[in-house]
Amino acid sequence: MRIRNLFFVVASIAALSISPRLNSQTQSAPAAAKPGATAAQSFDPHNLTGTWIGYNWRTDTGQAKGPHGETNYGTFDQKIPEPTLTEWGKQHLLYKAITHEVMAGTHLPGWDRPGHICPNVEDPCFSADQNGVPANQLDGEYSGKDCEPMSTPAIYDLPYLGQIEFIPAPDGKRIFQLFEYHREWRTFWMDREHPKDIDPTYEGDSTAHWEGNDLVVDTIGYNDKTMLSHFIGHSKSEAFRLVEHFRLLDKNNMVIEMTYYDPKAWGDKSWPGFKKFYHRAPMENFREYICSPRENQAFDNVVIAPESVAIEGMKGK
Amino acid sequence: MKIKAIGFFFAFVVVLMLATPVLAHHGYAAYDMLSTRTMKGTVSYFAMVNPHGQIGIDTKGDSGEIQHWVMESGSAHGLKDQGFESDTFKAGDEVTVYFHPGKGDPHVGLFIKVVFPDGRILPKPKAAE
Repeated sequence: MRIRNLFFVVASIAALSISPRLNSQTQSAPAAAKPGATAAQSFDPHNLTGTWIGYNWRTDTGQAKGPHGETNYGTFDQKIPEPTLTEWGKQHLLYKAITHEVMAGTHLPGWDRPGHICPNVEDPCFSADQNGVPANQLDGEYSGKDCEPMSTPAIYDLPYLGQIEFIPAPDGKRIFQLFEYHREWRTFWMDREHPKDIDPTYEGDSTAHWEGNDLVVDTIGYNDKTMLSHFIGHSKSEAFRLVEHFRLLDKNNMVIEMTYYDPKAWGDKSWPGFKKFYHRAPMENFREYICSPRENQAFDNVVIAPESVAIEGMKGK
Repeated sequence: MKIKAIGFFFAFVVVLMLATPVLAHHGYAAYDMLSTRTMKGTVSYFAMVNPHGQIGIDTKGDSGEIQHWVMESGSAHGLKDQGFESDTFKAGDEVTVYFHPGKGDPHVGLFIKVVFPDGRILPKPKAAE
């Protein structure tokens, strides 16, 4: 009798352990329960599947803050200063000028007037960044200029401009991250090492694994053709490394915490502390965003060139 | 029914959240963001494209000459979230536009909102709480 009871207990445990789980992020081990998804939690912390949009900082947009006070003000929420640029970085990575505000640098006159918050997207505080790159310049560089790829982490600068979506591959070996803004996408290779020889690309090579409830994504192999951020006056080097932690705060809210590494730009210093807050959004709002070089050029002609040229370029289209 | 209502509310809130100039692609360096101007005029064209749309507005200057203005708007997908369609504006429409004036070219502006003769406003104003 005792043996039969023991057999029943063992069989019950075995049956429970192989019951399928819904919404599992990977399908390589469908029989195993995911760590962290305890009975006490009302959501699966490993379920990033779906469409997400970043919180805005503007108070006139409705849901400007999340339930826990989450909001995003460009990349200006980052309060940890950038590491000092190496001499090599100053010679090889700096732009001549950028269009956006910067996070720190040379102040404009009157920047500290009462009520003026700095840095400021619409009412600039700086004439140049800490490396002397002129900021807020009409003809300066910006992420995605001329419809060039934005890449990470710059594409996260303004998380309310477009949705992101995570789609796990059926084989469980990959997760695809799609960006509505600029229509870029990345592949997270689950539980594998980076290749030994990587040809630099715009999006780099991403490997991923779960650490508790954090999807940790490690990306290397970037080329040096994209801005680090709209708000910083230099590009990434080919040695740049991005580490992202994707974590659900609750069923509908997510935070992406990021640390930047760039031995050529910053030596052995890392730059931690970047946070972006997202919430779930209707999939129907994930639309086509194609940056057409011709349409973009016609637009640039309007803002920079005489108006007669611009109207002839766009009228009737 | 309750789930449907919650879903609709959530979608509505998201639309409200996006009812703002989704611009910031190239920054605001070209415009005086601390000034807002109003202008009545006639639509000459509307291009609902990425990364930024354009609204051509013709108006009369102080001397009676025709001025050709161009309003820069947000992206096509941002405009759609704000209630615009490709045929929202037609050549010949009489409208009133609110905009931030350009710093360089005197006839360029950053589009804020438009008021149509029938009183419609786009983007739709934020709903009262």
